[in-house]
Formats: sequence, C-alpha cells, structure tokens
Amino acid sequence: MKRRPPPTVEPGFAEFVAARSAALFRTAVLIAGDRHTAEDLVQSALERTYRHWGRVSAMDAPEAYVRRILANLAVDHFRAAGRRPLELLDHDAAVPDVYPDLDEHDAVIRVLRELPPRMRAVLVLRYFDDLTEVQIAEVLGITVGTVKSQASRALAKLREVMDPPDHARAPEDPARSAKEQRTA
Amino acid sequence: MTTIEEKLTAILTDEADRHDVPAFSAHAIAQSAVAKGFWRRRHVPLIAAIGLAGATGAGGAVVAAAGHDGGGRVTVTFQQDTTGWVHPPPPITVDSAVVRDWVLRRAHAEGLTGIDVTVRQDPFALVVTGRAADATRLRMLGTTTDVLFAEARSVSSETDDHLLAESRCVQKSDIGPDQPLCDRNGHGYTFVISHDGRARAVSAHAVRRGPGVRDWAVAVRFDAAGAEAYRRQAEDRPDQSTADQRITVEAGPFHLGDPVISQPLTDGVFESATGFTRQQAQDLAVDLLDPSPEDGLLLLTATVTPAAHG
Repeated sequence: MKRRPPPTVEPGFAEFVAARSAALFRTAVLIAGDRHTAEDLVQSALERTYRHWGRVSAMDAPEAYVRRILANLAVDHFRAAGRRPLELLDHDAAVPDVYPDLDEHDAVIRVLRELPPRMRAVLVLRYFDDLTEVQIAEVLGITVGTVKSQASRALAKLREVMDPPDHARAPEDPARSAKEQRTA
Repeated sequence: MTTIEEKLTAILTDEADRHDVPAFSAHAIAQSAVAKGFWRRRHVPLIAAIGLAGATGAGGAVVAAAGHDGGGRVTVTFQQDTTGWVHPPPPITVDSAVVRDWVLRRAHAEGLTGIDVTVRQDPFALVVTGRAADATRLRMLGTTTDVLFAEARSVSSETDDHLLAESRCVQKSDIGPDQPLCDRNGHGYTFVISHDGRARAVSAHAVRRGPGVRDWAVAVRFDAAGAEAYRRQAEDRPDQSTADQRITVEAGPFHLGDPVISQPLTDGVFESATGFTRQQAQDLAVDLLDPSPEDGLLLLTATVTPAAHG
C-alpha cells in the first residue's frame, strides 16, 4: 500500500521533538523498565501529538499534554501485558558502578518494577519529574486522593528495602517498626 | 521531602542516566502519524480500518483489501502487522494445526463452505481461500475477539484534553452499532484491558429486542475468570461509579459499544446494546465463543487477492 509522506514537518514540532524527546524518554524508561518499550511509547505519544500539533502548540504547556499521553500509554501498555512479569532493566551496556550502594539501588528498582503500572507512574511523575499531586492527577486522569493513596502505598513498599538512616522521621511505618524490633 | 523520598529521587535520576537517549526524528514521527491515519489501541486500527474499507470501498490504513473476482474464488492472506513499530514485534509462532482448526471451526459456524486453509511459518501467514462472494466474511475468519473492560471517566490519551463535541463522540459504523468514543459528559474513553488479558464467554447468543432489522443484541455470559476479572477491575477503580464502567468487545468489525454496566457484574452476565442485524449478532456470538487460539494473532493484516488457479 502506498503511503504519502507529509511534505514538510512543522518547524515548531521539530523543535519540540529535538528539545523534549530526551526528557520524555527518560520518564518513559523509568515507567516501562526497558528502553525498547520506552522508545515505542515515546514514538507513539509524539505521533499522537503531531496529529493535534496545531492545537497543542498553542497550549501553555504542550509538554504536559504529551506527558499525559505518554503516561496513559504506558499504563495501558502494562495493563494489556499484565500477565507478563516485567523484566529487570535492560541497560544499554555495562557501566561503571557509580552508585555508592548498588544493592539498594537494584532493590529499589526491583520493587519499582513489581508495582502496578499506575502506582509506578505516580512515583516516577512525583519523584523524578517533580510534578505536584494535582498535576499527576491531571496527567493520569485520577483524583488527587488516588494519587496520594497510590504514592503512600508505593513508598511503604519501598521503605522495606531502603531502610533510611533517620528512623525517627517515620515512626508510623509498620515495616520499619518490625525491623527495629528484630534488631533490638 | 523525607529521606526516603530524596533517596528515591536520586535513584530514579541515576537509573534514567544509565540509558542512552535515542534520537527521535520529527520527520519519521510525522510520517508514521500520517500513515496510520487514526489510532486508539494496538489492534483497534485494524478493526476500524476494516470498517472504513467496507464503507468506502478503499483500502484502510492498516488493512490492504483489494477485492477481485478471481474466477469466483479469492484468497485472503493474513500476515503480521508491523506498521508503526519502532522495533518489530516478536514474530508470531503458533501451532499450525490449532490455527487451521480454529479457522475451519469458525467457517463452519458461519455457514461458509468450500474453504481451504493453509498456515505458513517464518514468516507467519494464514491463507484462506473461498468463494469471492464470501470475501467480506472470509476476511473476518482471521480476526480475533477481545473483551475489554473500559473506563469512561478518565481523560483519554486518544483525544484532546477538552470535552469533545457530541458530533465527534461517535464513530459511524456500517456494521453493528456506532462506536461511542466519549462518555456522557464528552470525555473520551480510556480503554483498559481486563487483568487477565482476556475474559472468555461460556455462552453467547443473539437476542431480539425490537421489531426492527437492527434491533438485535448479543447476550453474553462470562466464565468465572472473566467475571472475577471484571470484579477486580471495578475494585481497582474505587473512585469511579459502576455506571462509568463498561464492557466492550472488539471482534473484527464489531464493537459492542456502550453496554453500560449499571451494577456489579457478579454473575458474569451482560447484554450488548442493540443495533445489530440478526446475522451480525449471530456472527459475533460465534466469535465470542471461539475468540482466538493464540494471542499473537491480534496483529494481523488481511490482503484479498484472486485465488490462484490450478
């Protein structure tokens, strides 16, 4: 089947892709867990953006629109693939161990991968993209209350492996309390 | 921000830094967007494109369909669709005998006769030959059925962040009911698949709900796993009323649009909206009872050509 390519790409869209695709990819790879899926998700999100670029470009925050599409695509993708366990991260190549505590790093990432897709997206948008709870609710199409509850549950799971040095700052954490009792 | 939150931010940043960022081409993205024409979910373009081809007589964006007489017989070749993928999807690996039996069973249920079926591997191709007069229905033999649980309230990733005008909330269909794209408030749907990926029907049959030709619906009863999947789906949306939970079925060109579930689906029973002819409702019931032997068959394109003689 013959397909007619677009004669030109709007300069604004080309600039947007050049400027923001890397940031979108970084978000996607954290939610998706592997670079190939992340690449597909970003590609799909940008394709959809292109379709409405005339209107998107006039928005105050076009990236927020794209990020919304990206996050929803990611959640939908992993819901559709819900029967398949997420694989551990597929890194580009062997890299020097620059992180001071790789055990903890890997443990946190492993827990992240095991979270439900929407909960994982909440964490990435909150603690990597630095969005507010209101913005996350808008991006994911859920209530602020759901954002809070999802983030709270996710952090509770992460606490079990992160074991922060300042125990006194979260005395209500049952997992840590149990650990303290074991070590006492 | 607590210590844990700060540490999590650092770990996420480190993790993101460990991946080389690929180069995205604006031109390639635009080209792919234009080529696809429209999209919703990965297998929906196939369905929509078939409907479009039927309505306009032209090939759709995904399905290349060129009808020819071919001396009274045509060959429909189903192949894996790799359109629009940055990385090719995994190749289809199926049990040839299972797929062949599935197609023949569906053909028999739909009253199609004189069907020849061949399954080729590497690359996958399902080749069905039959009467040219049955070309449209032959093209449906390789399509699969998927039951989806949809939520209506979330802002859809497929539509704008503004409410859609009523006229844009329905996709016209010549086969079955028009396809609703929005909820009652004008928000686009976000489709989510069931937890188990697929809910299977244990019974499905056409039921008449009015005197008109298109007053037929399909009554469906899920298996226990399907009913349980719906229950869990509803539980996962505690902030959403059950009136906004919908079950949709995507099967070839058919789409059971807007069978709003107004109460928990505890018994696994639901009925579609009306809008089908008797034949369509019966065909869909057949599809629901025998959806697909292999998940990988979801991404098939169909090409119709004159059957080779001899």
